Amino acid sequence: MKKCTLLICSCLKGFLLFVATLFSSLVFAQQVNNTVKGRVSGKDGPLAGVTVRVDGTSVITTTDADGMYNIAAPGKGTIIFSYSGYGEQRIPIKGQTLINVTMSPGANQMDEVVVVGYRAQKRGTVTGAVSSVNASEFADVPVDNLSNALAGRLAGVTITQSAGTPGMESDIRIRVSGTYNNTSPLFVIDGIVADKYAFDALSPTEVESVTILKDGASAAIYGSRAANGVVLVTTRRGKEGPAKLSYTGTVGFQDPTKIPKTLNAYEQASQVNLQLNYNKVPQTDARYYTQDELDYFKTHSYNWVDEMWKNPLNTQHSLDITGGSQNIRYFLGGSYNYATGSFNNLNYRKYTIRGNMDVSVTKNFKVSLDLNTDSRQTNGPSWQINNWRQEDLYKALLFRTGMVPPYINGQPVGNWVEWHPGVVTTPSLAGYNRTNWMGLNATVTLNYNVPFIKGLSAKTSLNEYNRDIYTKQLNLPYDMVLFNTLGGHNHIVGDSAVGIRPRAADKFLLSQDEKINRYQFNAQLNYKRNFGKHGVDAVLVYEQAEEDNPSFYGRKDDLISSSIDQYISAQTPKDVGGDETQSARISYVGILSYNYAQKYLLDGSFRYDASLIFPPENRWGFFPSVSAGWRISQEPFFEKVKFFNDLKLRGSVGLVGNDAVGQFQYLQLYNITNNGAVFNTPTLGIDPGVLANPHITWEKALTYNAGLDAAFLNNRMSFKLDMFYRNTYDILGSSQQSVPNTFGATLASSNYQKIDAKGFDIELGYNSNSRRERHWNYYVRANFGFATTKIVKVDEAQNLPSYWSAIGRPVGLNTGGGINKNGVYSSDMLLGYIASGVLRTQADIDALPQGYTILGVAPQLGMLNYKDIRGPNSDKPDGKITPDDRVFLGKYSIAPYNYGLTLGTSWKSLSLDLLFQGLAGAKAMLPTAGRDIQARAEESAFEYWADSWSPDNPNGKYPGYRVTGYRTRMDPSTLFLVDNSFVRLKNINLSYALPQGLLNRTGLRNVRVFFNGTNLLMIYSANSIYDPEMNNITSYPAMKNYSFGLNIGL
Amino acid sequence: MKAMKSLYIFIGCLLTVGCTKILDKKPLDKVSDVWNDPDLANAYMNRIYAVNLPGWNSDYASYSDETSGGGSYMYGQLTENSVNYWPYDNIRDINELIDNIDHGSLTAANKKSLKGQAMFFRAWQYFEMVKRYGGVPLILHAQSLNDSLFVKRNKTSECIKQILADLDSSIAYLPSITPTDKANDGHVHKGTAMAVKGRVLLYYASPQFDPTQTAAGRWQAAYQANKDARDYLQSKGFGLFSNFTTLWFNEMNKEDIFVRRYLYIPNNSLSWHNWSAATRPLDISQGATGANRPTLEMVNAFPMKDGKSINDPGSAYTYDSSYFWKNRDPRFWQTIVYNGAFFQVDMNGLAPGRIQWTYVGGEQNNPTITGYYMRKAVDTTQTSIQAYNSSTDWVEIRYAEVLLNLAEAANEVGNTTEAYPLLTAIRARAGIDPGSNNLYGLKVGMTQAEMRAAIRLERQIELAYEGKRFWDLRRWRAFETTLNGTRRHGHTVSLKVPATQWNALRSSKTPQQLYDLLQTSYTSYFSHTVKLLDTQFDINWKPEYYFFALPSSTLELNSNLEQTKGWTNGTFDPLQ
Repeated sequence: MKKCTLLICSCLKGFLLFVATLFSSLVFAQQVNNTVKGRVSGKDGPLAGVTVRVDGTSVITTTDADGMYNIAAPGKGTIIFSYSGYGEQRIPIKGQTLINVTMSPGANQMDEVVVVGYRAQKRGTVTGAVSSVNASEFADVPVDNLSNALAGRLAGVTITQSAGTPGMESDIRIRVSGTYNNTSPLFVIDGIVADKYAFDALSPTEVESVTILKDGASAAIYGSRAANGVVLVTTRRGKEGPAKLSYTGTVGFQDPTKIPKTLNAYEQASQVNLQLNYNKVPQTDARYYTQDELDYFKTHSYNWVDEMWKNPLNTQHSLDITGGSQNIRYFLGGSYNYATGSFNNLNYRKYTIRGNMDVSVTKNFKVSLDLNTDSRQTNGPSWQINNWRQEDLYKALLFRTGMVPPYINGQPVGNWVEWHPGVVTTPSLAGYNRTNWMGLNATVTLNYNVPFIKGLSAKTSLNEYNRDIYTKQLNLPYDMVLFNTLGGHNHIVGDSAVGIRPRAADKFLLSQDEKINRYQFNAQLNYKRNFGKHGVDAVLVYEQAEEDNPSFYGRKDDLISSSIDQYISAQTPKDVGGDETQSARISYVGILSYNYAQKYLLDGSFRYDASLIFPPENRWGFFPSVSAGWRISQEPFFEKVKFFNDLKLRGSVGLVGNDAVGQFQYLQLYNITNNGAVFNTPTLGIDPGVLANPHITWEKALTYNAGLDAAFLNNRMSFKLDMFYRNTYDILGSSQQSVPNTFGATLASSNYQKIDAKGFDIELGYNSNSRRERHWNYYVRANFGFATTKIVKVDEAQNLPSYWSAIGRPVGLNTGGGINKNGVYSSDMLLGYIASGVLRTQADIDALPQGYTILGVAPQLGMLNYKDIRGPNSDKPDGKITPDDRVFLGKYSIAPYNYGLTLGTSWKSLSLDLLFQGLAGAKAMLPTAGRDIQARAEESAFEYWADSWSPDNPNGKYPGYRVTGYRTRMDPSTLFLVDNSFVRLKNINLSYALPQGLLNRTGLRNVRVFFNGTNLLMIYSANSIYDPEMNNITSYPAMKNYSFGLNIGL
Repeated sequence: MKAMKSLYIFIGCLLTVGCTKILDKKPLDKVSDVWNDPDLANAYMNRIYAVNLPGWNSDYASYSDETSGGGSYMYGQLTENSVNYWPYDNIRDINELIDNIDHGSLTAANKKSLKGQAMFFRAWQYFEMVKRYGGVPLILHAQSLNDSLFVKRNKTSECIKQILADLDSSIAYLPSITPTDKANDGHVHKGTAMAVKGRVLLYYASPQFDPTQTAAGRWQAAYQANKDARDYLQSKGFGLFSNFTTLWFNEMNKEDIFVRRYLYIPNNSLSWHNWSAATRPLDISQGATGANRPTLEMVNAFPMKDGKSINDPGSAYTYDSSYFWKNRDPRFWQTIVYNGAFFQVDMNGLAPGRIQWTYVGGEQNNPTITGYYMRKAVDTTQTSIQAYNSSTDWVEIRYAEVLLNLAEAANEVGNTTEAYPLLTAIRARAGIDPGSNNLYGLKVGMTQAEMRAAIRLERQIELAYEGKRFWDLRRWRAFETTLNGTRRHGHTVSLKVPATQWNALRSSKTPQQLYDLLQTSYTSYFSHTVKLLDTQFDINWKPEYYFFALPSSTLELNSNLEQTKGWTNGTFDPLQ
């Protein structure tokens, strides 16, 4: 049993064998008098490395490369087949000598091993709220980033992709955001604290499993950064056996899920005319569209999105080899991913390479070396890319007026536009912006089983991570062509060129390099031993990490030739800059688990963390946790309850922290900026930084969790429930509202806000009994999560009317009074008016009180009226609409409900898996800007505005006349409120494996072909205007992806 | 053995806390002390300039009769939340310098100069607030969180007193320079502070702050301050620049008293402005548009070349409404672009002598709504991108304003005759005919009221589109009498001949030939009809707009602050 010598949390298999052996050898002993053999196979064919043991004995073996096993067993009893990520199979022997078994991916199994941070645990002994998903579940899903593969697969985890740009990642939120600061979970990859970038860089094919730590007790061992939960990733490792090669390739194409409709040329022209009419502009004004023009536009309308559309393609290829001998085991893998966007010059590339190697130097000493690299490239238009949503490009195409074609005779039309989205996506004319991310990760781990103290092992690891983000931006001015104009008011563009319209721009080359260099050193002692029925598992860890982030950029203008996109083609630099930040952390972690007969479980842990963000006296944070479990099913009295195979009650409480705020806010510092005034030459400036807070320290969250795990019907069905309550306090924020704005200083963050959160999540699974004689199998897995927040204490103005206070409301609606202050429009800003209807007739106006005004304007036909609730002086209606009449219009702007449903079925080697995903309960505000007499006429508006009030359309849904403000921006009101609840078929996978008989002649281990579809069907959407999963209505659209794949094993 | 060794290292590390020194890091891009290093203290002052200096702004033109637009100001729709000018963050930074500079080790001369500049900007910002709201809380030290922060509004008179005290200090501390000194690089100097003091006192004496014109001594103080400023500046060589057009492009010339310098730096948004782009026709611009389109009222305000009004039968020139551009005050075509006028040469490869067309169909993109464009301070050598990232300096106070301020104060204290040479100096520079009496068209022997009207007209024309008219109308409480109940107008310019015929003519001639042709046969090709710019409402300025309301976002933060009288719940009297 060489394999059960070591305990690396990332080596699942070894740990499983170790535990199995330990238990069997310690507790039981039984006679051997029979031999059973057979083949174990999975979806893709034979499974190697499956643990086969005889229940209640120490007899154990594993399957070979062909899935064959041979085990000595008694005639009676049960053989247990287990394999990480697959449901355990228990087959009664009943005198059989040949037992073939088909394993199916993991229903919730108590003996499955889950990684829970610094160690692995059998699921049966886990006392916290932990969900995990095995990579085999999403192996076929062609995703650009790992986060995209997980949506809908984990209970209580909300994963949404806010835009469909190639390479766009998804946001991951565990349960609910309980803070105003960083809400991203902590990402830990193979025991190394990483970040979302590194997580997304992983290819699904190099991942073994993903585990989510949801409750405070599970997360508390990650202390100061775990308040938003923890995502643990385990990558694949080699298993003893002959080398196995696996290739998977997919080719797919994409379609948008939904593109919001915009006004066509005729509708836009008509609406502009109506608007001019409302404004009482005389009909002679040249801005009116004349009848001949309107008639022309009835038959001439150009959809810029359609005209520029290129069908996006994506292809992915991965190859990995795994195997090993007794002493050396390896996983070598690589992947390539290429995806194009729906417009020219938008694409994404990713390469990953990984080598994970385990060397058993001696019986007790193992060395592991993990090396991996990822390289990603996004390529887009020349403008500065702050995020990869490409909203500006997409929005421009969406809103370009239908009255003008993008090109005439192949030349870009410059009438009515200042810039041309077609030319912008042509790199030779307008330049480009390419960003490369390159991550290099190396970890050396030493494991040592201390021979003289039974159960004691030590582990130390050093990780070095380097990321390089290199951006190269070439920006070029370009020319558009002006064409003659026709029509009564010159609104029709003709086809003879009359001039050039230059898009003037600085001609420059800019490149920027950002680096992240960090290391993490870990030293860990484990002690795990059973004393009779008493089981003890203790872990002690020292962790230390430092990080350095330097960046540098340079820009040269006026290139001698735009075809030489190198610094050599320009003189002195126009601009050079850069900066550097550093951070460091030290942590101590301790875990102590005790169990009595695997029945009563008690876990305690602590983490003692230090970060340089805080002043020396406040920088150490202590984060303890305790949890307990009771496996009722292990009780003797429960033996008789045949229905249950497992039943466990759990409870936990843990304290976690959050420190994602700016460093050094405890020091009074001055910023040096390049924003000094100009005195003949530019100067540097210095301004006072934030007003220091010498007391700043950790933000903390205390989480209570109670859970129930159950398995019934011969383990075919499983159920898991978790309920939580979280009190986040000392939330860091600048309490700017608590001082009058005559104070003048920007306050540092201080620890004062409080948010409560609560909710529950449920997982339910059913697996058909997959015995050998059955060709048909199926499974159902469902998850459902509800989580909500309540603001208890927040920064609010001393004199804020109570009805606008955010206290008692969920996070995300608004923190009070924000609309006026900076005029920022946000789709989750649900503070607005209750629309009481458009004033359609004179009678509607006459019914209003004397002197009634709507935001200062006397009522007129076509205006949207609001409910008069109160005035500045009173809480009673005051006979006019003022900003005081605003209320919170919805309960949630962040979806409190998330759910997923996976259905899978297989018949022989044909299988079908369906994943449904949904969110519910959140509302959003549509853009309230309507059509307009444009200052620049190139912009259209959304189609819903076509149904606006006018004398000819007195029943129009939308108002015909603006109330106030620039252009036709309306104020947020219930009229524009949409419900963003939806259910979609997120993924469908149809797969067929060639029969083994056919393959035997080819020498291939397995061949499988599959079709995978993403976002194919919106089953229900309360929002009929745009895809509710998107960030907002103008987000680059999500894509339906149709992929065809091939998987070959050798 | 290696394994044992690593175990020892591991245990060793667990038992010691020696590794905590990795936490002893400091920020790499910040400094903790600026008051002992003259270069750092100067950089601090550079930032004070950058955030406090006024700059280009075309909004105020729309809140007056200079251009169209200005919605809520013009139609009586302003709310409590419309005007939010509250630069207490800048004032705090200034106070921090004033509080700390004496504790540092800079030379006395250095300290004096920095303090003088800081006090100048403190006065400037308080004045900018007081002219909007009346009295505001006077905060003269950088507060700490333990101070009583829930302050009350100080009386307007207290604020003015403090503003004047700060200006007097800066007049004492700031250096005396001439226009050609190297030090005249955009830093404020003694003359700047004196000119601002003159402006402050002029406002305080004006009807906005003294509607009944009964406050004692205010005009006298204004007169004295402006006279001091004029005399001092004159003695240092400041004066009117020779050319009304190029005074904007000969930067730091002798007329520039209070200037914000610009120099385009890509990642410094305070170093450039888009005023030129916003002003120019979109066909020769980009990124901004629609600002400063002159109204017919402004077009008609410019006198004839002899300085007489266009309706004055006594003018030596006959006003022809069809050829309205002929024989006008030269400032007319230095300010206004009309259909057929030369505009923009030598840019983007366009032919020299480019003519601006404003007739219907003559412009491709976003035609001017008024039929006119404005050309003052628009640099015709800039390409579109340069116009969007323009570096033309903003002159907040030029010498001409000092003269006009002095003329107005002199007239109000009864020295009406003293105003004549001040106005004629400006008219002479403009190129108006001197006339036989050397009065450049001014009426002989004006009464105080006539002179008041003449000065107001001169300000309207000389300082047109420089962001002054709105504040002047407000200062004079003249919105009601000048604009209320009226609407602004523009011209619709139409082709009289078929477009094809006109286009053929256009392409057959050089710009100069076309221009010459239009001097005699304009009416053969074009007709002008008056169009309404305020299509929906009459202009309706409300009396409470002479002192704006404090926004509710400010009142919510401090229940000790009173709202301005005239607004909901207003109790604060800005006239005290």
